[in-house]
Amino acid sequence: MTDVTYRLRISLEPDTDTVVEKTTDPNASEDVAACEIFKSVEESRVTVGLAYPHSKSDKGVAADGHIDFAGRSAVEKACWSFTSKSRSIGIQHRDGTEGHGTVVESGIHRGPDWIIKGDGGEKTIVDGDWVMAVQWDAPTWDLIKSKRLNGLSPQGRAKRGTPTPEALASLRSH
Amino acid sequence: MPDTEVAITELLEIDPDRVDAVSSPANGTDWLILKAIDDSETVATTDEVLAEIAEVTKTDDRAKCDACDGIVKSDDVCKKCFGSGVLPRLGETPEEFIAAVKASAPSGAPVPVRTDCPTCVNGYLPDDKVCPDCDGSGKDSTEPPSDKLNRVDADGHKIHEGDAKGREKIDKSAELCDDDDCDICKELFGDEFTVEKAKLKAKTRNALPDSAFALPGRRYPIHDISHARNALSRVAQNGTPEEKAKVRAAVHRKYPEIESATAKADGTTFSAPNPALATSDSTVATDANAPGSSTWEAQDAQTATDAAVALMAAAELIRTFASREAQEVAAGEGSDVVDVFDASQALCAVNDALGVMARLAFHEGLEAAKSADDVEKAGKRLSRKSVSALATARDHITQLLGDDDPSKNDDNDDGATKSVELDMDKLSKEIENMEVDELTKWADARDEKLVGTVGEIVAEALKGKAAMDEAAAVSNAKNARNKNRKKNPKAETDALEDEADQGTNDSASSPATGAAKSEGDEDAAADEGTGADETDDAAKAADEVELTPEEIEAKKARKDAKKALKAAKLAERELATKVALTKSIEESLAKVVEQNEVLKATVETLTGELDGVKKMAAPSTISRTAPADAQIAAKARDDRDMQILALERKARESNDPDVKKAAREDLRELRGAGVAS
Repeated sequence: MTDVTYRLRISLEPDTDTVVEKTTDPNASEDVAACEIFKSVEESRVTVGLAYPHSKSDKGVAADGHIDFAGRSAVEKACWSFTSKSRSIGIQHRDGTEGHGTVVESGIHRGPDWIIKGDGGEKTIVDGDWVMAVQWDAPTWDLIKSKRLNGLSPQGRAKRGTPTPEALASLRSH
Repeated sequence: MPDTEVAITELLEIDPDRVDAVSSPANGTDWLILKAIDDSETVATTDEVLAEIAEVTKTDDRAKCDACDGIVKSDDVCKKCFGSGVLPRLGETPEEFIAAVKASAPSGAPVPVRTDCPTCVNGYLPDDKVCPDCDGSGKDSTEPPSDKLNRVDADGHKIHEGDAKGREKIDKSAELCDDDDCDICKELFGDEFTVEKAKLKAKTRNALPDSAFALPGRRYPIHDISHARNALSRVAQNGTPEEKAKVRAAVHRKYPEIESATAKADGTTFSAPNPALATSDSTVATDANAPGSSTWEAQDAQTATDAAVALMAAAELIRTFASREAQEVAAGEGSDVVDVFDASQALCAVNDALGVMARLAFHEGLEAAKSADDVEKAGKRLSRKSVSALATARDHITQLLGDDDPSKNDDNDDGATKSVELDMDKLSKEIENMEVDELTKWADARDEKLVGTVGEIVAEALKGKAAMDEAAAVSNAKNARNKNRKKNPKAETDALEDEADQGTNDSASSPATGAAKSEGDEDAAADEGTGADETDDAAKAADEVELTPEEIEAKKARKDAKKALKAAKLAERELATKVALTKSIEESLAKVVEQNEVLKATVETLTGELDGVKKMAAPSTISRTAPADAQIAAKARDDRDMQILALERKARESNDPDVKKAAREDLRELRGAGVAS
């Protein structure tokens, strides 16, 4: 159980909006009248992450010395395959680490670009990317909150080929 | 392939067994969202929170002011709580808050309640000991009984009491006091104040004896000193001269202290002499000198005239100062240029003030003169002597500053003033409407003008110095020649004889010689400026008539020195130009080199990228699966799967046992072929 502080900020200036925000800073502003409401709710320990983007090359080099990318259809089929058959979640690609997370959402993002602004900058999810939501157990959630686990990485078999010039040209940078 | 080279490859088919949480995902994207809050639990929306807060804060208990903590430390009203000691509610505007606090206090105003300890300051005595009365809390803990809270004894009012929350209650049965502008009475009776006051007046008035009135018919009550003053004021405004005299007499008879006080026309008195009027010669003792009267205006005119004259004297002094500072600059003290500039600005300011005071003096004099002719102002007239003095003052000002008689304009009496004000308004609007660039240009032009003015002053001073130097040189030369004469009279005589001989032999040569001599002088004059013309002429005449060979030598040497100085200055300027040019070339060269470096770096980057693209476009040497094979295999597999599906449907749905059997056999074959492949 965690205490979450809701602070209502009402500016005394006319024509200004009222804002409800979550904050732990009791001195957010001296110019506002503040009132705090405490609510105790349970953490759900769910992450939403990008399992695999399409037409986007890996940032890192794989163990076999390659930088891979996958086309839209390959990512789509991979998503369907995983969601329908496996749904297994592990940690750091090590054997015996399965079972600490449960897939609660897994699908292809369909629609306009989804831009997420966070501390690490702006992230864009485009139409065709594989997005997955996982609920973690408490120990793993602690690892995630302490930024020791930061993202998702599929593991399995794949067929690798030389990309065509068209496929290279369609690679996106973001 | 060397270890350093990395191939970009495409994953054609992915069959993930699992997805892992990793510290550094290869796709480079960290978690998009961390959902820490369970959606099933209550997550308040803005409206819900607002409603909840409104419910929480619905009670009468307002939060104590965090600025003054509900304690009024001084007489200054707290800006947060407006002296009420409590904070506005959430969403409450200051106006609403004040209205609400007023409504909570029957008096109609927030009531500051002093709750700080009267014994100490913030809980400590002057000797830094903890206050025994409040135990160091700084708050007055000795509250009076609840029925005596906020007890206020006001003059002429009944006691006001408050409740335990500090809200004031006022006994509505209280009576009005005698003060017509009593704030407490106004608060007490609100809108009924005027009616109640009228009732009281009637009641009180009826009870007064006839002797309490200044005039027959029970008019102008003077039963107390405030009413007496009021009577004086009223009669001065509305009464006839006879009534004024009678009321004044009655009041002064009953209240001699009013007479001794310095009374104004409206019956009010000065509590103390006005220090601003201490130097004034006039005394405000009679109605003839009342504000706005002709005497008053004449005095104003004289004061303004005196101020204008003083300002003129100040301007002259500043001008002298600036001139002397300019001479100091000419003498070599360059830092005094700033003083000259400041003095010129001060002169401008004084001139502005002089213009204002002169205009005021003129208009005040005009008003006084009008009153003297036939117009009564405040019922008084100017004496002839004052009129004469004002006319003289006006003429004097007009002579000094030019004619500013508004009657000569098309406008009315204040035409001059209006035109000045309009000009100022126009100028202000123009400045306001100016763009930043325009304003900068305007300011630069003004600065250039000021600098030019200062430069002219300095140039004038330099000219004067050059003239003085030249005069001193001529004087020195004459002295030297006289000394020579005294020392060697024979040589002087021989020289004169030689000159006489020359003049006899060739009379035409004399003008030529004179011209030759004067040529050098012309050069000197050209160097020294026109300001030294008269001195130059005198020097020329002296040289033409009486120059000795030593003087000629000295002059020649001086000329040579000047030429050398000029040449040196010219060379210095050329050198400075060359240095500047060299510096400019060096800077340009540095820029070119820098741009060259940037271009080089860009070319290198582009070359690297091109190599990368070439590498990516080239067939990978380590490809493990040919794309064409994979596609053919996938297509064959898909076709086989489709056939299997069709045969399965046929075997399942057909009613003919033979067809079912054939379909099953075909299925078996196809599946066997699939396993084999």
